[in-house]
Amino acid sequence: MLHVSGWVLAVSDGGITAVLLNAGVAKMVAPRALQRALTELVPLPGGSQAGVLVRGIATAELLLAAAFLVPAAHLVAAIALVAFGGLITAAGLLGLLRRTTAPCGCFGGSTSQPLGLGNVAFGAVMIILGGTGIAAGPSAASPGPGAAAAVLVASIGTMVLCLWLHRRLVLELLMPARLVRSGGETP
Amino acid sequence: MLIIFGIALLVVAAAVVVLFAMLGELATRIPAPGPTRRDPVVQPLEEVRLGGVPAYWPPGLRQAGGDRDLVLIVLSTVCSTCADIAFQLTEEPGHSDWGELAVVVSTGSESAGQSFITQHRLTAFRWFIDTGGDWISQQFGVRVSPTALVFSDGRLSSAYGFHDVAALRAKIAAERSGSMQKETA
Repeated sequence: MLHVSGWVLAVSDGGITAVLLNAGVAKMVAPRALQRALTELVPLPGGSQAGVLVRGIATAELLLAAAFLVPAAHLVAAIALVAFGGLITAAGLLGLLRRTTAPCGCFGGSTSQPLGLGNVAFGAVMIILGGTGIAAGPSAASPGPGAAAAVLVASIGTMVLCLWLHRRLVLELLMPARLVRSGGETP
Repeated sequence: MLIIFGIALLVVAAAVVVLFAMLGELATRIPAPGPTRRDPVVQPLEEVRLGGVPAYWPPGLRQAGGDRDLVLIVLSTVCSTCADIAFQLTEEPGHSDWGELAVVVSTGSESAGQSFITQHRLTAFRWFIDTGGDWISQQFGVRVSPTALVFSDGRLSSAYGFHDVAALRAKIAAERSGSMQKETA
């Protein structure tokens, strides 16, 4: 069994939760972007069914995010994360092969890049983190200060990531349009 | 205690993410400011009475009715495109130099027509408020807006549906120069 420090595990779990929470919520609220990207990638059944698929992915992400904060479910969550990372990597590779152009919508409407290298790299990181969790074993995450730290890291990470993902919107709302444009935020 | 505080903070963070996601989704539904790309198609209308002369000209257009060449732009207070047409006439790019132009505002009530004229500063043109669209429909059979009625030698020579005033103006200019060439030949 791989020995992973409790604090490293807490930061890692909190970070994963923050990413999955942002991705899941964004897809749940604004599913159209990923719907378009998936339709471009593979032939999907019409509108409402594609929407149900995207909301299904969002639900899976939210459940996975929650699972990473429950020490008892850590091993299952790590296995699911490896599978999820594999799917993201596959989608990125398929996007590269098919040269898709629709924004991936991985974080809702705020992502403008199509499925491609970014998703391959993101999926690979998920696989590595999930693999590390599996190697650490079921008893690596334990209730106590480590679990509390993971929740705190997840909370702060969620806020920071949310602000980063919506930085353009925040700048547009806080600054006059002219300043934002001259800062290169809008074309 | 710490874990309860952490969970509470996580719930607040999730709520913030939901709010931002909704805000982002709403932002994508608002058209970007800047020059608007309008459909330049100028569509001839066939259901109007071409070649006709109105039985009378209403107040506000009597002087315009005496002109040999006239363009009547028919707008409605309840059509969103008409507000954009009014904006093009007065502001972007502005067509106050178009001497043969007059505006008819078709409306349900005189006060709504007055406020449309004031709001869009159409007083720069010759104008008439056509309550209920009675005059425009009885004299020319026009029941849609925005519409442009083109008069040559006092007669209704053509009628168009349009979205872009510049495209309409170019079309009418081409039409007028074409008919002038025919007369010369």
